[in-house]
Amino acid sequence: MALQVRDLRYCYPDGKEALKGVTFAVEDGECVGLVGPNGAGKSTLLLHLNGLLPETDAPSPAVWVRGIPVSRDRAREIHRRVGLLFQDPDDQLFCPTVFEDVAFGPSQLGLGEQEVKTLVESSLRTVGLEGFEHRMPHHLSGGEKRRVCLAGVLACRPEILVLDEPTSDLDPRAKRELKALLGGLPATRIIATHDLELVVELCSRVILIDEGRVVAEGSAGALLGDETLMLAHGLEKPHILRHRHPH
Amino acid sequence: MHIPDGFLDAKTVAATAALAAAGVSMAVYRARRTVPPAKVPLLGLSAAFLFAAQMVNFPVAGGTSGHLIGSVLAAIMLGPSGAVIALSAVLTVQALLFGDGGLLALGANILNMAVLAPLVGFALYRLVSRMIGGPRGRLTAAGFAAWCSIVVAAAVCAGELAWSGAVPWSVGLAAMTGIHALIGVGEAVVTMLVIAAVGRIRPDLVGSSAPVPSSRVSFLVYAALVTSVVAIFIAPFASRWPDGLEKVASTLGFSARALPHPLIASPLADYRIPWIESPGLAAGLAGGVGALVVLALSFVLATALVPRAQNGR
Amino acid sequence: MRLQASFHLPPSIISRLQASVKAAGALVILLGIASLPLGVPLLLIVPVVVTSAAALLSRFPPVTLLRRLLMLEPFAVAASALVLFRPDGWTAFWTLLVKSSLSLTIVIIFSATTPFGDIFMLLRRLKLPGILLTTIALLYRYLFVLADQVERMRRARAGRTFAKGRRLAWFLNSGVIGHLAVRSVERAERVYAAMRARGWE
Repeated sequence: MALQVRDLRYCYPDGKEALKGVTFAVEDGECVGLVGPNGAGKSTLLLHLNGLLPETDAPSPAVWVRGIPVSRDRAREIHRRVGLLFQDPDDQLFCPTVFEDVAFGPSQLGLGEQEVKTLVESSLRTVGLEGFEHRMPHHLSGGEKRRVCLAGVLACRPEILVLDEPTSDLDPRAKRELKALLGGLPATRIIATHDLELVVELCSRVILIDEGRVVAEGSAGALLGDETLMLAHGLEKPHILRHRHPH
Repeated sequence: MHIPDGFLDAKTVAATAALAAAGVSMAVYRARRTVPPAKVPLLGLSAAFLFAAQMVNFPVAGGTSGHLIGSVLAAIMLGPSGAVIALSAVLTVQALLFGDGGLLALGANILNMAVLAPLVGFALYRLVSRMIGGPRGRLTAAGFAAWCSIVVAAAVCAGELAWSGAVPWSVGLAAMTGIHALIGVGEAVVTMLVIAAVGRIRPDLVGSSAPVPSSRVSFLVYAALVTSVVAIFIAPFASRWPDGLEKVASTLGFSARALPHPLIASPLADYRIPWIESPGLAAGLAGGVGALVVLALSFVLATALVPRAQNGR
Repeated sequence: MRLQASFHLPPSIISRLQASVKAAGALVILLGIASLPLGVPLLLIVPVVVTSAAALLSRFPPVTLLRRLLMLEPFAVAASALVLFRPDGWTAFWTLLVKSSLSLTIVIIFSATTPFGDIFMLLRRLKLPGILLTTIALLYRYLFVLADQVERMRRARAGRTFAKGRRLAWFLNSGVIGHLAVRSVERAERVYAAMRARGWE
């Protein structure tokens, strides 16, 4: 099992309850979609999956990555195995050039200069950005920035990829390209998104979260096709499912 | 107050560079001890913020506009050492990439705006905010400290120009401190408005607890640095000041002593307050009066800005 | 003041030099200019020649160079005005202005022929402390992001006000700066999370 979450609870510093007992599991190689209205706790949940939250260790762990309980002292291992793609690429692309940014992860892992260089080149090739090594972030388009961030995450060779709204702020072409890219990756993928078309196209399973709890779990077609359920939780049935004939 | 190149001579460049290096080194030393890893990106982002904030136009009379420098704002949000580092980064990038402020003069500019201004400002901020207390006290302190930091930096700047033999001391001091006493008011007002705005959204950023624990050693080192700078760039000229002013007066074609009988006896005639003999002291007192006026005005503005419910807490 | 993204010239003899060579050269020239006494204008011929040579060798379009120079001149002019009180007032004024402009030209040429990455590597080789280097790198990275944010916020606020007046502008702009401060702090927290997520301790 790639990832296991059992009765995860979390309160914000101001006391408000964000997660009220979330439980689910993800198998190797699966592509799971995480959907829910704004404020449901999706982003907060994602931060727990690679150990960035909670800030201080809870009495007992609630998240396991390949059997390893997520806690402060095992943070390094967890970070290596779980790559997190943040919602705002500007937050994640913090180095002055593309090369340095993609190289950041591998360098922190202590790899040698030549190995880092190879990793950077292959990661950029995977995301379709060869030759971008010397470009500067503020000259890149939104889609390009997202792909650089993805390259930076892939360069660490994670087993599990966690993505927060990967297609937000992208134009249709960039969305298509990113979807194709994500679909071709071998790693286990967990995607939190409002882009329900993406979920239908890529995800075998969907988890619906609302008010800090798992409300429903199921296949994309079944869960997202349930109009009543969608509307009850601030979502709607995606267009791609509306015109399917029931054959 | 960015000094361009061409104004400072080699010895002043060397002296200011050395003093600036000392100040920044001390700040780095302190920052390594007191800034947790979580706050390191904050220094960089704050530097970017200060740079961006410095570009905002504040319209003054007739088409001209002023800009925030933000030394005290930085000190309140980052602590004195963090402010020194962030402001030094801003000045370095401004000089190297945008030609704002000379390269040789970078030492002097860092000394004035990135070391002296935040240190003096922060010390005064702590002093006054403790004296008055509460959110109103902190706002008052912020405004007053901002004004003082600008004026002190301007005075030292004048000293540096005089040291280089470019600008005569008396003229330099009068012009620099005079103009910056006015500019300082703008800095004080904007600093207060910004702190009030931040306090409304994230009070923890400008709150009562000092951002970093204070250390006696660092306080002493910083105090020694500030004192040295004042001693080097201001004190030597202080005794020459009345003569210098006489010289200016005669160049401009009149001498105060030549006036037979002033129609209205000015209490400050002959550059002396009647019962105080030393002109240097008189000048100092005039400056002190100015500072008190600014303090009072800051208090008034702070009272207006802080909601009544919070006063007295 | 709109922030122009870094301005770079086409490759030239000067730009191909190593950053350290360019920096050293610039400093030597600047020191030379700084050492010239104010009262002797004729000595200025040397730096004028040197600076013009540098401008030519760097293939700097003269009009662009002049425009950049003029943008930064006002402060130099104002500062030079202080010199008028000397006995050799006007000579000193013009000498100082020329010295200042030549120095500025040298710095403009340096920054236009040296990409930030090279300047940064140079600073690193000069053994500047790590925390200062990180701050400068992040400053450069996020400068344009924040400058854009400021512009957008200002425009948004200005679009919603119908009164005119300086006092209002002061309140508005201070509010914008205040919001920018909060957003910068919040972004710093997210950047730290992103750095940790990729292994930074």
